[in-house]
Amino acid sequence: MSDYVIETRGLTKRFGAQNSVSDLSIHVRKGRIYGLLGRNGAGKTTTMRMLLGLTAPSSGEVRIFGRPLRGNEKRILPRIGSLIESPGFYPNLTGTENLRIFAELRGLKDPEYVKTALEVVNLPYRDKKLFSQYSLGMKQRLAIALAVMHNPELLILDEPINGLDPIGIAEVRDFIRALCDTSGKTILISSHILSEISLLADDIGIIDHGVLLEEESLAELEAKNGKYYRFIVSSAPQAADLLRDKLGIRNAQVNHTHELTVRDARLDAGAAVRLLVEAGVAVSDAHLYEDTLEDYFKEVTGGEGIA
Amino acid sequence: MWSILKGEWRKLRRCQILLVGIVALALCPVVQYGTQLIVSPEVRNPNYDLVSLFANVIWGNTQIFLPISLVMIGGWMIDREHTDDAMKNLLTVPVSYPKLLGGKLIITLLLSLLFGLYSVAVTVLTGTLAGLEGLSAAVLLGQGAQVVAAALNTCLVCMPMILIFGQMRGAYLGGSLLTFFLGYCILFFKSGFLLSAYPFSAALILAGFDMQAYNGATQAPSVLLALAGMAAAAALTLAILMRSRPGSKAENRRKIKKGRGQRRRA
Repeated sequence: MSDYVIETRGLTKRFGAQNSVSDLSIHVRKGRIYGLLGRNGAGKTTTMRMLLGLTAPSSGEVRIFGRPLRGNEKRILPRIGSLIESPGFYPNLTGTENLRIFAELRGLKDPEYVKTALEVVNLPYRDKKLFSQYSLGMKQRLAIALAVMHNPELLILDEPINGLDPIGIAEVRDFIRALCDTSGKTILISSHILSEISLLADDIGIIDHGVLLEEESLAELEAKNGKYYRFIVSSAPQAADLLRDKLGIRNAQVNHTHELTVRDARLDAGAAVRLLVEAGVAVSDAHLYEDTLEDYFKEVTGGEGIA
Repeated sequence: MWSILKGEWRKLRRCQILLVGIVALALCPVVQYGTQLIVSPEVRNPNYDLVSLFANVIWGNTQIFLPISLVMIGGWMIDREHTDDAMKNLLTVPVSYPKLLGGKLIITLLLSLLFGLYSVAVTVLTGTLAGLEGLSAAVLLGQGAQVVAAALNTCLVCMPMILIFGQMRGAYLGGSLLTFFLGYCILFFKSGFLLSAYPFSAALILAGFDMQAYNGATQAPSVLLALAGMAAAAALTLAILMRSRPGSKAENRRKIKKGRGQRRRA
C-alpha cells in the first residue's frame, strides 16, 4: 500500500482547448498538512474538484487511501471532509437545519454530531438565523463545520479562510493545526495567501497555470531560501572593492552609493566590518537577511508575487 | 433513500415557491365558478351544483393549474441544488444523483397529494360560500378521491418535464409554461387514440373522470390506452432518471469563457 493518502499521477483537465490542470502529480502524506499554493486561477480548485470526483479528469489518475478514486467513490468519499469554493447551503434553512440534512445523509443520527460541529466553529446550535442572513465569515464557518462533522480522516479545504476576519483566521488556523497534530488527520489545504500556507503547511506544492512547479516540505523550502548580508556604508563601490581584494568576496553587489549586498552566507561579518572601518569606510548598518517565501514563489513562477 | 426523502422534505421549509401551488389551486375553483357566472344565460348550467364544481376543478387542475405548479416546484427543487451550490456537498457524501432526483420526484408526488387534498377543501369552501347544493359525504368522498387521484396522475405525467427542465439551469419556469401548453391540449383530443393515450387525458381517465360528459368526447375512452399513455410517461421518467448525470456543461462553459478572458489579458 502507498505511503500517500492522496496521490495523483499525470492529472490533467482540459476545458475546450485550454488546459486548466496539466500533468499534475501531487503526493500528500498521512498526518501532514499539505498546502497547495497558487494564484487565483492557477488550477487549485479544479484539482480539488477532481480529487473529490466532482470534475472528471481528462486524463491521469487520482488515488486516495491507496485506491483509485474512480470506482471506489462509495468507499473513499465518506472518509473525506471537504470545502470547495464558496459555502453551498440552503438559504431558507438555519445552520443547524442545513447540517442536519447532511448528517442524515451520512447516517449520523445523533444530534450531538451537528451540535459538536457547530461548537467547534463557534456557531450557535439551534439558532433561528437563516443561512441567507449569515455573514460571509459565518457561512465559511458553517462550511468548515460540515467538513468536520463526520470526523473524517482526510480534509480537503479550498481556501478555508476566505471571508474570515483576522481573529477568525487565527482560530481556523489553530483549529486546522490541532486537527492534524492531535487527531492525526491528513489535510490538503489550498490558498493564494502565501503567509497562511507558510504558517500552516508541513508540505507545500506550488501550482501555476495548472502545472505543479515545486513540491517539498516547508523545511526543505526554507533551507533553499537564499541568505545575504546588506551593508549600509559611506561608499558602497569602495567597500565592494575592499571586500573583493582583501576577503576574496566576488559577489558583492552595489545597490546604490551607500548600499551593498553580499550573497554569501559564509562571510565573516565581523571581519568585513572591521576591514571596512579600518580602511576608512563608515559602516552604519550590517544585517543578515533571508529570502522570503514570496521571493521564492516569484522565482519559481518566474513572475509576479502573490498576496 | 429514506434519508434523502427526509432531507428533501426539510429543504422545503419556508419555501415561498410552494405558494405557487397554494395560490393556483385556490384560484381554480374560484375561476371555474366565476366562469360559470359570466357565461351568457343560454349556455349557463341551471343545475350547477357542487358536483359540477368538482368536475370543473378536476379538469382545471389537470389542464392548467397542476402542470404549471408541479413543474415549477419540482423543477426548482432540482435547479436550486445548482443555484444554492449545494450539489457539491451532496455528491461528496456521496449521494447517487439518480436517487437524489428520484427523491425529489417522490416529494413532488407527495406535494401533489397534499395539493389534491387542499384542492378538495378549497372546492368545498368555494361551493359552500357560493351556496351550491349537493354537498354530502358520498359526494365529498367520491369527488374528493377523484380530485386527489387526478392530482397524483397529473404529477406522474409531469415528471419527465420536471426532470428535463429542472436539469437545465434556470429553465424550470419555461418548462412549467410548456407543460401548461401540453396540459391545455387535452381540450383538442375528443376522439381517437389521443383521447385516451395522451398522458394528460390518461391522467383524468384513470382517475375515473367522465370525459364524454365533460369534454364532449365523441367516443368512450379506452382504459387500456390510458394505461399505456401513463406507462409511456413513467417509462420516459425512468429513462431520463437513469441517464441523468450531475451536469458540468455550464461549469465547462464558464471555465472556457474565463480562460479566454485570461489569455486576452495576458
